[in-house]
Parts: sequence; structure tokens; C-alpha cells
Amino acid sequence: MNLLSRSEEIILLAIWKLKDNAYGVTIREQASKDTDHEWSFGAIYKPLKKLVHKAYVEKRSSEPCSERGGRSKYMYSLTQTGKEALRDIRKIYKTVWTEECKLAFDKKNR
Amino acid sequence: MNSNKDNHPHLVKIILGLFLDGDDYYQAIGDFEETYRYQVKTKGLAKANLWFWFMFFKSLPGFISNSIYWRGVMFLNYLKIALRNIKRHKGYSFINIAGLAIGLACCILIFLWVWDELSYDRFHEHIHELCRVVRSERSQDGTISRFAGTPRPLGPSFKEAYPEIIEFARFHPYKSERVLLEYKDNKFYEDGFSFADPSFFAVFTFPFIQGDPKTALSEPYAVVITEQTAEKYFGSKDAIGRTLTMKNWGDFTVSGIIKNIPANSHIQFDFISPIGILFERFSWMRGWRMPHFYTYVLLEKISNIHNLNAKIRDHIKGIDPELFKIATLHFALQPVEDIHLRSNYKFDLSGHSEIKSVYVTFFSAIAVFVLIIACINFMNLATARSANRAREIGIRKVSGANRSDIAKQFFGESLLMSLISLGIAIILVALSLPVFNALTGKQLNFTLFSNMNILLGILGIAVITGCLSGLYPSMLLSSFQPASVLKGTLASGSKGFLFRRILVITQFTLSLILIIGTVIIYRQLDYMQSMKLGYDKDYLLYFAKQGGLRGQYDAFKSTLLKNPYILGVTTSSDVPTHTRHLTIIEDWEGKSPEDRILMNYFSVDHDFIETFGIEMVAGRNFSKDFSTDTNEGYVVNEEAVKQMGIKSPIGKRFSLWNYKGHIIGVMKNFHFKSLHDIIEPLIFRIQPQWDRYIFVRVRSAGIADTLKSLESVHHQFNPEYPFEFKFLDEEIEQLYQVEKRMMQTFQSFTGLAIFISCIGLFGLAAFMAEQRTKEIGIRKVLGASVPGVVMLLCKDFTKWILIANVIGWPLAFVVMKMWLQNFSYRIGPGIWQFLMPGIVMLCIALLTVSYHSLKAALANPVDSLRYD
Repeated sequence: MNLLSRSEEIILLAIWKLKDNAYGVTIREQASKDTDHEWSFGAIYKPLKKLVHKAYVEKRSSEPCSERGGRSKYMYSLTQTGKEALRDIRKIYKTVWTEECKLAFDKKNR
Repeated sequence: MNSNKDNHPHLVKIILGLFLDGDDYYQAIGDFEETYRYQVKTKGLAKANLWFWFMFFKSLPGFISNSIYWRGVMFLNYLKIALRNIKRHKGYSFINIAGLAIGLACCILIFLWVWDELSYDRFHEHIHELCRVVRSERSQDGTISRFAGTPRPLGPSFKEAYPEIIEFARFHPYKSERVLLEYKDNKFYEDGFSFADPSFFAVFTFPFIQGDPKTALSEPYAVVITEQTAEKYFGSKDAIGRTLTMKNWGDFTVSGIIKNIPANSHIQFDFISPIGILFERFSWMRGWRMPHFYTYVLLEKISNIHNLNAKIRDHIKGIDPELFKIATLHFALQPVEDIHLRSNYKFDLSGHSEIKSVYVTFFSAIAVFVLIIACINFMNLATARSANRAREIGIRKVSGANRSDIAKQFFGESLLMSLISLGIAIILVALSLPVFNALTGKQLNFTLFSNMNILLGILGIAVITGCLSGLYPSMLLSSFQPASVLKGTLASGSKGFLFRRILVITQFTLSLILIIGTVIIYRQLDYMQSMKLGYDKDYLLYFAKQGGLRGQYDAFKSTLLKNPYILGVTTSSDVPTHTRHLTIIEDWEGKSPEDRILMNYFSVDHDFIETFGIEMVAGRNFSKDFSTDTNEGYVVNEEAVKQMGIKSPIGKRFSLWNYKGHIIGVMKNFHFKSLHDIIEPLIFRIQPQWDRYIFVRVRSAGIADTLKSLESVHHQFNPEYPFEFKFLDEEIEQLYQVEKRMMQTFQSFTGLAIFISCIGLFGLAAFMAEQRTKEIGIRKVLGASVPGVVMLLCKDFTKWILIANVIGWPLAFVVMKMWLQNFSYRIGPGIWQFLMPGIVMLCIALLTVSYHSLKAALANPVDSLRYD
């Protein structure tokens, strides 16, 4: 089983949430919103590239658009294996985080 | 659109361009720009700018680590592919790596040699401010003779007159007689006894093990010795205060022990004593006319040298106007740094050195040649085999690699090859260094990490080699069009055909120049060795005339002559290999008032001319029948007669200084110096107290017995001195030692260069034959004969080598003509010396190629055509 890193997981989820509008700018915003923490572009490109390399996401370029000074957007979308990977990680969370763990750590936070 | 404000700073694009390329770059720029514009719209320009720079710097570490990570991944892939290629094509890789490794090893060896030559005397602390005073004298006909020696008063007089000179030191290697030193039972002849001013160790840096450099030479009979000398006499380095006894001189007290003198010092000695003893003993060395010393001066600043040179030029004018007039004597400063490689003075410590700088240039050229040849192999094979890798390049390009990626890949591969070769080369150098040292007569060390400069130099050579040989293949291979490559329309091996041809021609031109060089050097040396010297040098041995031999020479001689195996005995002041006596002659009958001639003079005895077998041209030899011959007779050589310009010389008045006399005979010119020099005027006179050497001519038969009896007679007359002798012909051979070594080294490197060219050619031929397998198959099916096919394959190579010949000849001619200029007696470069190497090279090349040609020609066409 190929485990995702935490940042890869967050970005993968962000892409899934963004559906057809996932590209650098929106992914960064989504990730920042989800984690309540300002992500830099440098921080998202690296996992993005690895995800492409592992074939969890696909990259294609859009038509050039004016707000980017005439450049294309690079749109990302989840592949089947990407979805599988998310499913896997979800399964792991379920087994790793037993009720006991959840109880213990949620309490502390409270 | 207010475009300027909306565009984020241009600088960022440039910086991002450093880390990102292709899609990544456009994506980043686009994302940045989009967000920036959004920020400008919502929060205003100032905040947007602030955010922008904040975001940029925050992203930077991510960009950098990202780029390093992916480059690393790619690099590992390139490395894997490169190593797979090396493994898969073993023959090809072997040729490449072996060629490069041998080339690099040659280069490193020569580099070490050149480094050593250039490092002479650089170990002195004040080397940049050190100069030697040299003198020049102009003779009547305007020729200027330059000498390394200077007179005794020069040093003090200079120091007094010119404040720019901080310190001076005179040095005199004592060679007038053989020194016999004794400590208890240890008794040795020594050649390395020298004298110097007490300031010697302030001027030069010779590190002391024991003793104080400041005071070591201040006591009259003090002596400073080297480490190895201390071991030799005293068996330990702890020798301060012990006494060495020098025969006829007295006791010397050891006052200091210095480290052994480095081989790369032009001053060499084993013992050094204060020069005052010498002045006391040889008071005739006093005046300005006796240039028996080497005077070194330490300048305040080397930048003074030009001014000072102008001032000292006519120094003698104010001191001895008469001497200035008769000798036109000038002085000049020569930086000590230049002594080893760039000086050409008579009576120099290490002989003529100009020729050595020619050799430094020659050797450097060989190193470069060999390296270029090895690089060419690499380029040739890489481009020739480009077809085999075309598919890989096509796939890479289709998957998104751009031209620079491919170029980088192949560039990197050639660097990898050159680094692997460097590793092998270093092992080769370590293994072959003893042989190389024996060949060149040097004591080079090769320890990689002791000298940063050498390490960097070697690495530099390897990297340059890698770059040079990778440049063309990487450019060519990266230019392939993926579409045509993958369709298979790339005519295999056709790319870069012209370039490859040029490379092979260059390679063979360089090899040819080296072969011609070797042949001409060999012929020149052979010529010099077989040249008639004008006397019979064989079976002639000589030894020092000292101790009891001085007083009882006549008795010694007659005892020897009773032995039927001894053909002749004579004595003289000079050995015809190392002549030391040169003076200005100003008085002869029939001269015009202004005439002065620089002449060599020997003192000889009555039998010298006969024993040496020198021919007389006119007049007669010295004879016992004429008692006046002893004091007034002069025998001169033809050259002297020519320069004096007298018609019938016999009986003419002639004097050497105040010794008046007559010319009684003229002898045929003979070579009394090395063949680098032309024959100079020479006069013989009988003056027994000057004689230093005894020559004995022996029969070739029973030489061992003769030597034994010679030794016993020597012992009988001269019990205090051990019997040590030399054969003259061996000494003469020593004169050409430099050339001989040079030739042997040259030969070895030429051989290697040819070998490297040939393995390259072998690889290329293999490749070309393989490329044409099908063509040959079809030709054979249609009825071509085996010789016809071989001819077909060899035709190209023959053509290339012929072109190489045409280019190589004039180049070699010019270079060798330059080298031959160093010899006064030289061969003229003949047509055979050019034609022969060309033919030899053609044969070698065809032999190399023929293996693959024959293999291709003999192959069964059924096999080669089966798959189509």
C-alpha cells in the first residue's frame, strides 16, 4: 500500500472538493481554508508534482485566460488511483484511530 | 488595462526561471500573477505588493527543494542509463575509457614533469627579489658573448654603489681539483664542495636542521653540510663541531647541517664553506678580470630591476676604464626564477638552459596532442553510434525532454566517462611513475593530496577532457527530430559524417607530427653520436692529476708506458667535454690595433696531440727537440687562424697575456665542446702547473688487467688519493643526456599516441563495417569479390590518412626546423624522414582497419541479408 503524506492528502482532498476548478490558485486557497493556515505556492507545487508522478492526479492545460496575463491554467483532476488512495487512507484512519484514542485526544483538546 | 501596475515584478520571473522550467515555470508565474491581480483588485496595490513578496520568499524554499528533488531523480535515471550503456557495449566502452585513461595518464605524467621544471628555485623565501649578476663581452666583430660568472669585487662594489641592493652573496663551486675529504676511516672524493659569503643563507633559503644560518659561515674554517653528507661521514645527523679534513687544505669544523638540497634547485652542493678561505688561498682571483664567482643580489623590490639594470650596465667604466675599453664589459641582472629555463650563458652552473624551455613547450604540446587524440576517439565513437541511441532520444523528447535536457544528459555521460578514466589514469600514473622517472632522470613524486595545485590541475584536465569530448556529441544528439527518429528514417551514422572525417584527419595529423618528430630527433642524435669529433675518443680514460702525481708525473708516465697495453699517456688542463679556460687574446703578429679575440686555451704536454689523434694541418707538434717549445710554443686550431686573419701563421709572434711566444703549428679543428656549440678558437701551450688531468689511451684487449695495473701504479705514486677514472667516450655521451632522455620520452609518448589513435580507429572501423553489413551482403550476392569489398572499406581511411600527411608535413617541418636550430651541427630534414612516417602510419592504420574489413568481407551474405 502506498501511503500518502499529510500534505499530499490535504491537496488531494482539495482537488476533489474543487471538482472542475482545481488549479494552483484555487488549490492553495482551498488548502489554506481547510487547514486554517496560509500555504505558500512552493508548498503546494511539490506535493502536486509528486501526485502527478504517482498518477493520483492528472494535469492538463486549459485555454489561455486573461487574468493570468494570457497564460493557460494547469487544471488538476483526480484519477481512479487517486480516489483509491484516498479511500485507503480513510480506511487506515478508521483502524488507527480507535474509539479509545479519539476519546483520549478529543478530551485534551476540550 | 493598466498593464504596468498589474504585472508583478519582472525580477521574480528571472529568479523563478532559475529553479523551474517548462510547465512548472508557467504554472507558477500564472498562479502568482492571477492571485496578485486579485489582491490588487480587492486590497490595493501596496498590500498586494507586500503580499506578493511575502509569498514569493515563503515559496522559495519549496521551489528550491522541489527542483533539487526532481533533478536528483532525473540524474539517477541518467546515471542508470549511462551505466547500462557502458555495460551493454563493453567493447565500445573499453575503447573509450582505455583511450581516455591512457591519454589522461600521459597528460598527468607530463603535467608533473612540467610542474617540476617550472618549480625550480621557487622554494626560496625571497625568490621574487633574487637576481644573479651576469656579464656580457662584445668582441671585435660585434658578437656578444654572455657569461654567468662575475669577478670577486663586484658584489661589495655593487652593494656600496646601489642602495636598491639589500644584500649580495658570491658562490663558487670548487671544481679546479678533486677534493678529498676524510673523517676517521671515511675517505671520499667530493665534487660538491663550494664556497660562499656568510650572507649566503640570508639570501637563499636552505632550511637548517642544526646550527644558526646567521653565523654558520662566519668562522673561517667552518663548513655547512647537508643531511645526507652528515650521514655519510658521521653516521648520524648530529655532527655539529666535528671536523672534516680536506687534503692539502686543513681541518673544517661542521657549523651547520641543512636539509638535503631539493632536486629543483639550480644551486647544488654538499659542503659549503666561507669564501674567505678561497680568497686567501688563491689570491690571483682578486681583480675585476677574474670572473670566477656567481654573484647573487637581493633587491629591495623586483620592480627596481629595470632602473638598476640601466645603472649597473656600465658599472666597470668608472672603476677600470681600460678594462671597459678592451672588453666592452657590461653587467646585467637576471632573475633567479629564470635561471633554470630561460638563460643561455657560458659557464653556467647547470649548462645551457634555453633548450630546456623548448622541451617544456614540446612536452606540453605532446600532452595536449595526446589528450586531443583521446578526446577525438570519444567524439568519433559517440557520434558514430548516435543511431543506436536515436530511439532513446526520440522517446525522451516525446515524453517532454527538451533539447537542453538531452544535451545535458550526453554532456554528463562524457563527464562520467572522463571521471572513470581519471580514476584508472591515476592508478596508471602511480604504476608507471618509476619507469617515467628512470626515463626522464627526475625524482617526481605522485601523492594526490599533498599538493592542492596538482590535485586541482588533474581534476581540471579531466573535466576539460570530459567537456571537450562531450560538447559535439551532445549538440548533435540533442538535435534529432523525434518524429523522424522514431519513424526510423534517420540514416544511421550519416549525421556528423563530415565532422567525423575532420576529426580522424586531425587525429592522424597529430600522430604523424609526433612520429616525424621522433624520427628526426633520433636521426639528429645518431648523427651527433657518429659525427667525427676530430680525435679518437675510444679507449681513452682520464683521472685527476693530484697528490704525488704532480711532482712525479714524468716518472709515473714512463712507468705506465712500459706496459704494452698502454698506448699513450698525456696530461692537460681541460677535458675536451668540460672546457673551462677562456680568455681574450690581444697580441699576435699582424693584428690590427683594435682586434681582440675570445679564445679557449689548454695547457698540454708534448704527447697530447699524438695521444688524442688530432691531425696537424701546418707546422709541427710540440717537440722535446726544441727546448723553447715549453715556454714559447703555441699550437692553434684552424678556427683561431681564421679569426686572427693571418695568411701563413707558422712562426708568427703570439702571446697569451704576458707569455710571449710563437705559433709553431696549426691543428685541424676538433670538437672540444659539445656539438651544441660551433668550434671556437683554441690554443695549446705547455704549462705543467696548470695541468689537472691525466689521459691514458689503452688497448681494447685485456682492458681489465690494464686497469688493474694502472691502479697499482697510481697507488704506488699517489697512495693518499683513491684511484677513480672515467672513460672519455662515456663522458661525451653524458653531454647529450638531455637529448637522449628527451628522445626516449618522446618515443614512448608517440607510441602511446599512435596506440590511442589506433584503438579509436579500430572502434570506428568496427562500427562502419557493421553499418554497411547489408550493403556488403548485397554487393557479394551481386558478385563482388572479397578483395573488392576490403578495398571498398579501406578506401576511405586511406584517403583520410593521405590528407593527414599533406597537412602534417609542413607543420612537422616547421616545428622540427625550430628544434634543430638548437644544434650547431645538425641534419637537414630529408624527404625520407617525412615520407617514412607517412607510410608507416598508413600501414598501421590499414592493419587496424583490415580486421573488421576482412570480417565484413568474408561474412556470408545469407547471414547479413536474412532479416530483411
